[in-house]
Amino acid sequence: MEGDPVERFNSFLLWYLPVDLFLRCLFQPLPTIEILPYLRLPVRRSKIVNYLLRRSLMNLFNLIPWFVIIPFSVQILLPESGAGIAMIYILAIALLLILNNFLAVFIGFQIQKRPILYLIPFGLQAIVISVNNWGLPMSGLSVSFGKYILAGNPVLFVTLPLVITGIIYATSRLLSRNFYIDEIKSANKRKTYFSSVREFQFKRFGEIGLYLSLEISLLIRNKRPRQIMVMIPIIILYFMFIISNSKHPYGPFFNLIIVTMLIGFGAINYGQFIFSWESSYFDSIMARKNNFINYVKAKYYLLSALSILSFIPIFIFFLNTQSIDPYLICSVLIFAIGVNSFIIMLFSTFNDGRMDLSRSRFFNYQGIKGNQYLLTFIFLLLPAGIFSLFKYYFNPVIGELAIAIPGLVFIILSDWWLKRIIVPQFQRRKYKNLDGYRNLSL
Amino acid sequence: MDTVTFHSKLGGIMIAIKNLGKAYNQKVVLFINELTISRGEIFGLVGNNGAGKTTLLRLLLDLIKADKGSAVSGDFEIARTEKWKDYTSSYLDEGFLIDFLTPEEYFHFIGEEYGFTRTEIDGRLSDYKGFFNDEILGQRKKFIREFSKGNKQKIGIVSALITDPQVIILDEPFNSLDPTSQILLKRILVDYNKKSNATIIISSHDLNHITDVSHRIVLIEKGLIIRDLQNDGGALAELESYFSA
Repeated sequence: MEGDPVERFNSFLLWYLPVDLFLRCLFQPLPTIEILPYLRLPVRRSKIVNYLLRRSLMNLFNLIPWFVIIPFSVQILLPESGAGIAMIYILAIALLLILNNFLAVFIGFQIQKRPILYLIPFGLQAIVISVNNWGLPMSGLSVSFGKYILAGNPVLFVTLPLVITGIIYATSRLLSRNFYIDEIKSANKRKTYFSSVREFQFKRFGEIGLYLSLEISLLIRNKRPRQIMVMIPIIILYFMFIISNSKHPYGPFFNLIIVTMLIGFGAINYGQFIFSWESSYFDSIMARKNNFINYVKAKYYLLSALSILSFIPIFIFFLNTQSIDPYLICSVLIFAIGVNSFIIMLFSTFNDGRMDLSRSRFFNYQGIKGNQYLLTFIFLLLPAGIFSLFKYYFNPVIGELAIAIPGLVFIILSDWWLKRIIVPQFQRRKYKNLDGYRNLSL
Repeated sequence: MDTVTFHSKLGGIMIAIKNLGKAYNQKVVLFINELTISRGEIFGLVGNNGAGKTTLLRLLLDLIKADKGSAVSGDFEIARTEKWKDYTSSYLDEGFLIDFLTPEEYFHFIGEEYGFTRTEIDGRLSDYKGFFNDEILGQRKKFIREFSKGNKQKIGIVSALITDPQVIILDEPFNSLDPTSQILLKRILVDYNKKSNATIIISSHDLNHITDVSHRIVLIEKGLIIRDLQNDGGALAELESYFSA
């Protein structure tokens, strides 16, 4: 699109806003506060609610756009159309950002109660992408929208604040309702809909089965792991949706990266915290007679199962689209079960943060060490790199074997490296990890 | 409650501590030059908050690393091997509970780790029916985290008893228990000790309970052993006079 910088800039508006909302729903920190201590203090409930709402405004999503908007307004709008228009533009953008902010807060709180509402931001994204791909000119609409703003039409400047006020009101009602102790308590009780019998049928498979049942119960019966696990199929489906809807076929390398990431995504989210999940009662595990090797093996099996479960839908999907060799996907799976599991478990022994299973907010950073995520992410790119290397020098089949063979080796030797590497490594770090899990300040 | 009569146990030494020291941030929180606990002894540990009781118990369970010295249980050095875990059980605090299991699942889980079948565990649990007072067993869908503090405490204590241990370590077991349960617990501990000659190590803030139950009482203050008393009648008075000073 030629010419007018204003138009070019505005063409991104209608694209940016839904994406902004989407990212906020996932990443914007929900303003939370430990309510119980305040309940017996002479602090007005409305004061706390207002504080929380104000706090929600302090995040990067409300800051970063200004690094773009302000220069644009000053350098382009100001000389071209005058101070008045520039101010109007800034005001409109501010209102839109605030709108997104509180929408995200509201949706975020609702999602906590009903995770199925994750569909809203994802659905919105999906709609935007579909609309874009089915030929409707988003950029054109966007430019018109931009023109509309710049025209200074009062309708916009009246409806936006009204909508914002409405959302703020709804959110504060929501927050106020959570101020009663029995509300909080009943919220904790609500999710006991899994019968105790079901998870423990693995006991039939011996000691490993025992630990496996415990692990699965942990993932199902606790809020935080449940939320994280629920995200996995959603993310996978979402990516498959994006790919199937994209107009340009992605290159084979990119496809491979996506496949690797998706297959490994579940394993990473579980495996990162493979020991810290149990941090709150790890003392008792260590103090008791336990077969630590079987304990670790059970975790490895679960890790592998997660990769396999992620693999199945991805495999079927790509089988249909034919954009990537199915044997390659299988090799990636083998690599994931073998090598990735090893790497993930090894790194998880360094994770000594306590993880509180009942704290629900999705992006509660408790127990997460930043560089670990980065490292595991890098190692996810490994198979893609290896494959490309071998494919370049030899041919694709060699490339696939180059991924599958190490994977197979690691799988066959899993007993060995579990016993000789992971367990001793954990024992080496035992005291440090236990201290971290206990998280007592002495 | 029968008074516990003092008598020397001829079972030999169960726990031997030598030169055991632990410091945090350069500050020494525990130092025990020498301490031995006999087999079959009920060993009471008293002290004010921060005295080092829990630190000692954690060291005995290899949950924290000693800066120096050693603790030996039976023939095994606690920090070097895991064999002592076969006959040792413990309950220190709520953090020991796997709170997303029901009490039965928890008991069965621990039992299976020690090699007992469900029926065996159920048999043992029936001994504690009175202690549980009909509030704990039989609640099929109630997770441990939903129980009251006192009931959680009971679950934890019993979980330490059902595996037929030879060494039991309890940190302030009387906390949160109602008066009837406290008295029941005393009886349970004394009976178990008589029946199985197990070594029981308990810490408590309650001087009365501890003198009712223990054969021997050790007083810790600021990480050091201040008194080491045999419980032969004058112990309670001596403890009370120490703490009121």
